[in-house]
Amino acid sequence: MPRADVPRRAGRLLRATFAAACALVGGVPAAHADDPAASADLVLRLGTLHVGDGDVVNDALVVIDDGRVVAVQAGGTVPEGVRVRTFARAVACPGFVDAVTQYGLDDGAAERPDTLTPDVRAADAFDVRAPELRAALDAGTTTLGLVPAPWNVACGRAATAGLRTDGSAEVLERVGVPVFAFRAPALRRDRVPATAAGARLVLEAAFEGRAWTTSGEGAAPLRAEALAELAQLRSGAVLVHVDRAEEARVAVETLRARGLAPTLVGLRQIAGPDEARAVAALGVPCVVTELGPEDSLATLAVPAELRAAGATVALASGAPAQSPRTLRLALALAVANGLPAADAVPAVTSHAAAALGASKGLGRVAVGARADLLVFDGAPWEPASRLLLTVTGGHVAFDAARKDAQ
Amino acid sequence: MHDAAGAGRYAPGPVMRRPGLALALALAAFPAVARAEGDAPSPAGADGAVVALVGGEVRPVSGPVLPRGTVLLRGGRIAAVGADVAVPEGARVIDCAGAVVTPGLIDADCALGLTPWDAGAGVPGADARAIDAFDGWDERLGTALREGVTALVLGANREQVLGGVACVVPTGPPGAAPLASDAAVVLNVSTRGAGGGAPGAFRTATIRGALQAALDRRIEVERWRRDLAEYEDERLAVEPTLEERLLLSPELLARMRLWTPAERAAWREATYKSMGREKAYTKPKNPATPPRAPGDDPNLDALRDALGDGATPAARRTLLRAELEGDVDAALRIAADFALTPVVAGGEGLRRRTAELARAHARVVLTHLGDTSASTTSAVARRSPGLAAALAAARLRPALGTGGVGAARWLRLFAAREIAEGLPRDAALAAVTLWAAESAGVEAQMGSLDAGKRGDVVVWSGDPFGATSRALHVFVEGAEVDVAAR
Repeated sequence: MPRADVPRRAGRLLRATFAAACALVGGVPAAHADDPAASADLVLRLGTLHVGDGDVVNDALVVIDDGRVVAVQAGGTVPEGVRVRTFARAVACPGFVDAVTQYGLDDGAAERPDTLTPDVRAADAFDVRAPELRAALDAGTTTLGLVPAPWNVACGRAATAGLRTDGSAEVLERVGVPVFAFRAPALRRDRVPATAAGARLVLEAAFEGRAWTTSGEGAAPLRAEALAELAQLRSGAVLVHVDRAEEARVAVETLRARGLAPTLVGLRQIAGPDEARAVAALGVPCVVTELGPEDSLATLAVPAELRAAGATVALASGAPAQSPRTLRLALALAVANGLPAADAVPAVTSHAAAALGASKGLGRVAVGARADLLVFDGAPWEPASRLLLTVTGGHVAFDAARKDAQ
Repeated sequence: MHDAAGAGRYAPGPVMRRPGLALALALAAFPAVARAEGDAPSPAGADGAVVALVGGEVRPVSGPVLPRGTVLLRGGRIAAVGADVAVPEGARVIDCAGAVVTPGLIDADCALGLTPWDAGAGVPGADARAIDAFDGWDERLGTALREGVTALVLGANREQVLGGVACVVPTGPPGAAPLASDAAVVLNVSTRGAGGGAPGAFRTATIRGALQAALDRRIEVERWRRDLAEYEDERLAVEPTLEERLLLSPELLARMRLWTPAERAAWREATYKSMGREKAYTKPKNPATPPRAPGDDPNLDALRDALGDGATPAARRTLLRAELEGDVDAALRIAADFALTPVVAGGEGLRRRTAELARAHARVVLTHLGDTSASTTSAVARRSPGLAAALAAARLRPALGTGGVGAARWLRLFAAREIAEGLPRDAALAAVTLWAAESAGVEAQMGSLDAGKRGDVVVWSGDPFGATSRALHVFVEGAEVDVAAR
């Protein structure tokens, strides 16, 4: 956001809050009705609102202005004259956050031949008009985590993008959390063991500013940019791609030793409740990716097992090869395989946003948050629930009532 | 049927004219028939045990929903469905209060249980019968069954223009007999999605050529069969007939074999006269050699056999895979030109050709629902939402197929997704039961809760399309499956 915009926005926000507050108490300020921007404002009354973090508000009133949520409250009356969209028997939740995707990312840019590419910026490769983005929005996704592909030990920096009503995207955070991979394929080009231990070897050396060496062999060249990027990385949240429990353990140990706070991404090969408990015991958040209908029952049970073991679990579509519609299907599959319904909404909203280090403004319907909201005629995790309204960035992207009228 | 009973044994016509031999042949063929199409191995529910599902919300599909209905299963079949069905004494009564009772679900197009074609063994074509590649012991069948999917339509191969013959199989018990081994001839007008395969026009020409060649070959083969029958008839005329075998002593028979044809004819004439019979015997034309058989072409023969001989119209049911609207046009023209009963399986193209499909009385299958691919070359990824709803609104009675292997077990979730996109709930249930059965021509056996149909019934903990619902009881041919086993 350009800096010059901030005072104007702050002013608008205050004015809108005031307008909304007035509206709730009684009386509509004339200036509010005259303001041409008022057409972008939205007041919703929702039968049930899943706030995103697990809390549920019944008969919720949500006021949206200038792309932000300015008021959320249970009950309350609205005076005549304020146009309220009422969804009395509907269930609303924050717009879905697909935390791990490569939509719009050019394949070539996401995959580099060297093992350490911490200076890759997912945002640089992102096409804000990629055709899949429209499909993602249709499926209820309003925020995307753009995460570099897991083919390098240090993959680069993730980015966060918000979807616009026209199906394009705006980059919300250009240089997001650093991304690592402790999966075997990330090491395929190097003379180190192609295991998580190999990834540790490579990364620990790099953190100390040197290339790893193997007996007798010369060190692989290491770019100065890569070293500089890793050298300054001493704290903060990071994502790390892992498949197995052992990879998760090594990754968490390695990154924690550096002062970093990892979130595990992938986790498709956790074999049974015992391994799930071992992963949960690491005490880090988990994002399970790429759940699909062809997965084995063991894989489909991973979110439920991790949750049962006490981990926070998010879901993400995870790969460029997966259709944007997959996130909702993955949610249904996770619930059908034991993920408690109470954990379903956080898994695709607040927990997913937290993985991107963006927990404050995204993945929740809360005052000050980006106004991303979905209204369904049933529970959001039920695949049969029909989407009635999609609000992204404060604007209506889809309205079933308008569509039905056509 | 003839491929099971009389397969490869030429000259059924003239032989059948002899009543004794016809009986013997029928007896010899009977076990083969029973094995091919029958109910072996015997289901546990066929022993006369009666199960009464009482008090649940019954959704028969063929009729209105019964808020508190009873479904009676007896002898592997549905015996009665209604609000006031008397439960016979000794019946096993299952209280279904709060539960939902539906027919078993049918995936209208999938690959679960099909052994992958061995690429090294050559490219399969029309001779690829899905039933031959079906492994009834595949353990994933059981996981589908426990999710309420009781039958599958297996569409043979999707890669070649001639896709072989589709079949309908139950998902259990392991090794159960197929429900229909010749459900439909498969023609892949478009190969999977829009990517890969030969260009559309080439595929269409190939299909037309193959169909024409198969029909020509049918004429050729019929002619050969008739010539061979005549030859056999005449040859048999100088051999002891069955009647003679039964009437004459072994010694006389043995001696008779040494007679010249003229001597034998003279003896016969005398015998028949003495028996007071009108002599039907004519002098043989005595052809020197049997007529030459047409050359070997398994692909064409398979297609010819699959197309049937006109006396069995169901055999001409043809599953035409057509994803884009151009493919649908081509599929309907092929069906019209060759008098096939079209079942068009596809996606986006169906939506744009609803009027044409309705005019052609085509069945439609919305397939590849389990595909999560985002590949830009895949037509599946480019489908827009609400396809099934649009097809149902056009009264096309769409069936739903996952197109997958593991995906088949989540059929209900894919149907649920269509509900979210506008398909009415009752239509969604029909699309994975009755309409699916109709697409494969097995609606007389299954697809709805009607007396006389197979006892394939599912009792759900709630809405069958709910992610949190599960199958509490699953019955296959009236026998309960252990749903707890994983």
